[in-house]
Amino acid sequence: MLNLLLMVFGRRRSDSDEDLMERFRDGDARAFDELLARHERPVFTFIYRFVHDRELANDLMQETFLRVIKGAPGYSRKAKFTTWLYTIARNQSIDALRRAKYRRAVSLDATPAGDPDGQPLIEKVAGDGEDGHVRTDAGEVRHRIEDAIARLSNEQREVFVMRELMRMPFKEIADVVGIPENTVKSRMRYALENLRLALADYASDLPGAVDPVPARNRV
Amino acid sequence: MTVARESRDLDERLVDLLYPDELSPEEAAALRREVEAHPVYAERLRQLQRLQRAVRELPPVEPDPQIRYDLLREARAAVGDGKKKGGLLGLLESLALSPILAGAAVVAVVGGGMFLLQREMSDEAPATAARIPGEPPAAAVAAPERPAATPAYEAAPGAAAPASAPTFAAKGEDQQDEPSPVWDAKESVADKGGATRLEEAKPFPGRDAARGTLNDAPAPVPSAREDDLSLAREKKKQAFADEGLMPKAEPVQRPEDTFAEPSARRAEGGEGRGAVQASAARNAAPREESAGAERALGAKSDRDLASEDDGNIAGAPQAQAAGDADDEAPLRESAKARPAAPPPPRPAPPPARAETEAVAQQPAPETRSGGAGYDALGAGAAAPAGAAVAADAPPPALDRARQARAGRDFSRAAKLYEQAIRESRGADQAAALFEAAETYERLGDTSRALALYERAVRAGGAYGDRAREAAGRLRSLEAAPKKAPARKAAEPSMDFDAEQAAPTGGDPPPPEAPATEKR
Repeated sequence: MLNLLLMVFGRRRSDSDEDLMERFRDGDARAFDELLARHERPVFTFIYRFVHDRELANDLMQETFLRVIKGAPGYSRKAKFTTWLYTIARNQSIDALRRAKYRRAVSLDATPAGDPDGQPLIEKVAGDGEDGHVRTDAGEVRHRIEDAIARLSNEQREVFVMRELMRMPFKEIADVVGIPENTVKSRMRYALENLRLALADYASDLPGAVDPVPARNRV
Repeated sequence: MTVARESRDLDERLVDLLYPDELSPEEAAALRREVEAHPVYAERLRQLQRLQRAVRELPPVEPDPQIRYDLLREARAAVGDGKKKGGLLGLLESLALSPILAGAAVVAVVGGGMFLLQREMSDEAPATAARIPGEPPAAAVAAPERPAATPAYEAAPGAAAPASAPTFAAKGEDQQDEPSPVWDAKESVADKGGATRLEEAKPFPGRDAARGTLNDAPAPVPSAREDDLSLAREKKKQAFADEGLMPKAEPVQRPEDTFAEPSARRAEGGEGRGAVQASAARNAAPREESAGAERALGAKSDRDLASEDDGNIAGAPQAQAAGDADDEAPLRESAKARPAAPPPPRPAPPPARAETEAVAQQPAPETRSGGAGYDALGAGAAAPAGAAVAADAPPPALDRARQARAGRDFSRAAKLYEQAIRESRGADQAAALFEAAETYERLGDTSRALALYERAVRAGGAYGDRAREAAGRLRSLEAAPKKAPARKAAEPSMDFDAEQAAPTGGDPPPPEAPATEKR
């Protein structure tokens, strides 16, 4: 009896996502709280990097978790929870992009991703103090990286974001996207190559770069 | 041709080297040696690794906190729709969600056990349970001052009921003739006290002799009842005096004096069973005056009754959750057009919340001795169930703090978060700590924010990880030589609310099954 009570009352946050989802399905609202705490930000990051629109990303994230709530009664532990979650998020994102015929138009003057107050980073950090040029470079690099990610094709971007920002294994990405793992790797390779080319001018400013020779003069 | 193919393969496999955790160590080492042998690919690998580091250093993006609030409310509303688990676990969890059910179940289980114990003892002393046909119950003789039909709300004698020592052997079946179910419940508890007391008396050397006296006393004398009962009482007194349970020199001392401590304690604490029953009966009377209702009330624990008497404290969180569910209808609408203004203010939380939690957190008293054991029934029944109810929904302060934060009233939110930290435990407290830290950071009080982040880290869980990350970011900002611009760029989460004042547009909701083909 005591063991049963401990089992009921003593479960803690070391539970897996699947355990939490089953608890939520069985009526434990706190389990959903924990799930949301774990995945709210990664899912938002994924959607935001996908649609490159903060407001739309908020809506899509809410819709994604609402679908999790509504799908909870039928949840069964057949696949990883994250696979299910990101499949919903991805489909939401693609549908939203199609519906709104969303077109990205990013430029150096646009508000960079992650900027909370809408001011371009290049204006915000330029000329600030003695190391202003360093900040400017860092801001520019960040801006260009986000820009370059946003310019990837949808197929490449979703794979890149899931692998690089969500740290999902290729196998799980393949499950989410519904393509073979080798295709995932191929898209990842193209995504990386496109990013490398897009950022070639800033290669010397990337972390770990020690070569002072401008990238455009390199091979 | 071969060289070109090898180069292409190598180019493709550079991706594998970027994520060596998906390769075996041997494969990774071999591939690395192969790439290092080609300077072009080695340089490309280094460039990709730098790009990878740069991407991973991108600042995190935070969703609108209002969404979290809405989703949590939606989840609670969905759970409140009545999805229940079957089996024993489901039963236990449903008991955990209902303090009244839990209290009733615990009382029933313990009461049943005590009843069985009592019957077992009665079997050991068959004469004490023997009824003389046509005779009044022995208990009525032993306690003639009690009225035959005691109203439920005049149950104050319950305080004196525990174990009239010379007569408790005559209790048991006789008590079932009592007209008031409330009285029945009380007496059965008093019997439990008596039985427990008798169990504790086992080590006394004269116990067997006393039991023999009790067993033999009233039964064999049907003709001269009064004399025989008097004689039996005298024999019992003598036996108890021999045991040392009753002083010989005080023939008028009532055994209630010996066992009066729990009753007195209850009376002092304002928790007298009689008073509680009286108030509960008064509450119940306008609704239903049937004996069944009184029996149900009598079966509840003291804590539950006290909660009811105080304005249905135990039910308050559930009622509030139900109210929340009613508020959730426009949630989907808010997903489409989220206003900048915060959601309408929710009704003030029940002021007795702290009392409920205080009751829930009271340690169960010692259950070994008679009346105290009965007290323990109430506390023991209420404690886990109350705790579960308290843990079911986030504390009202946390809800209000989130609401204030969503309304950009950060100062008020900070105060409410402090209150929520004090009131909550576990995951709720971790959430309160983390969100309070975010709020203080937003207010510019970085030292307080750091302290709260560190507490959230210690609390662990998903919030702990996020708090660790946020604390690291905050420390790095503090350590930076020029803080202002970088600080603003790294402000967490909430500065984009103004952007969201504009509605997103009137697109219809997407189909259930997204029309997205697998590519």
